[in-house]
Amino acid sequence: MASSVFGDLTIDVDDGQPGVLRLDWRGKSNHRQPDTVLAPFFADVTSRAVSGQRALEMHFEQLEFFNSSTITAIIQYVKELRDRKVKLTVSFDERHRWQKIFFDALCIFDKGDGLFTIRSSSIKPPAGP
Amino acid sequence: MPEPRRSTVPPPAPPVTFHLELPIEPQWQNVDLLRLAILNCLHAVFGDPELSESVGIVTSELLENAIKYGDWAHGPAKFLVLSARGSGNEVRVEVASPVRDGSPHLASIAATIDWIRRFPTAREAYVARMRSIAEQPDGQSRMGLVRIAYEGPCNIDAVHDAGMMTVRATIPTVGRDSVI
Repeated sequence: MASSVFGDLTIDVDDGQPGVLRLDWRGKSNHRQPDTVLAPFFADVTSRAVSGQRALEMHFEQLEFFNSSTITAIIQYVKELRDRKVKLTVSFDERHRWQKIFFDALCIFDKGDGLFTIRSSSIKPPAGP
Repeated sequence: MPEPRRSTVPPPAPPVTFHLELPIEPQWQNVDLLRLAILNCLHAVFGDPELSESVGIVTSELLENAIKYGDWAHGPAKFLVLSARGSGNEVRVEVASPVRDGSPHLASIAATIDWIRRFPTAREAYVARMRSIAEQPDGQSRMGLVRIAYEGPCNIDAVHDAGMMTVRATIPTVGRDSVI
């Protein structure tokens, strides 16, 4: 496991699972220009996924906050991965309203071809009596 | 400063009246400090972690825009002014910053607000902006105002007077879940 740190944001990269490259976002993505710091990181991750024929998993459950510039960077990366035919699964915590709003809307990039999947990992409490 | 975590669904926030006004130096690190400060203040006032988190997000997006696009070299003010008001069943967040006459930012803010209002719902504007970002990766995202219009949800307007632009976002404290 390796970690990349971008200010208040840390992304852990786990390549220990066969066929999968897992990224865990932690902390806060509040950089003024997140695209400038994330672009080289994304390029490296994409290169590793393509060369190793691996799928990507991006986990946002531990992310505390992202700004709208980060939203833009994520949308562009999702689009780039689709264009390069890299399989991507993103996972979020729907108990965070801001995560639910973004990832629910991000479903527009799920074309039903298996290249892009979104899943909520939170466990809902049991319904009351 | 820890961010509050939600536990169970809180009761509707009670109507309250308050006013907080702060002069802020336009430094990037102040954005997150103020997001958390507002988040924690409103959590203490309303006891609703979702509402306070949303107002924190609204605050940070308005501050980011003000710092990025304010005329800090030539404008009449060296500080931006953050104001948060609670009244009845709404919270209004305002950020005022110096903007030069004829600045493209003035036109951009007005155009974005007008663009959002053309959609039947803020969600539709939000999704349209996402598609636009994906299709035109090199263009300006202008996602901040669209985001807060949907996530707040909030009504947004802007006024320009005497070299200062004030962007206002008004967030209801009840009935917010109807948008998602």
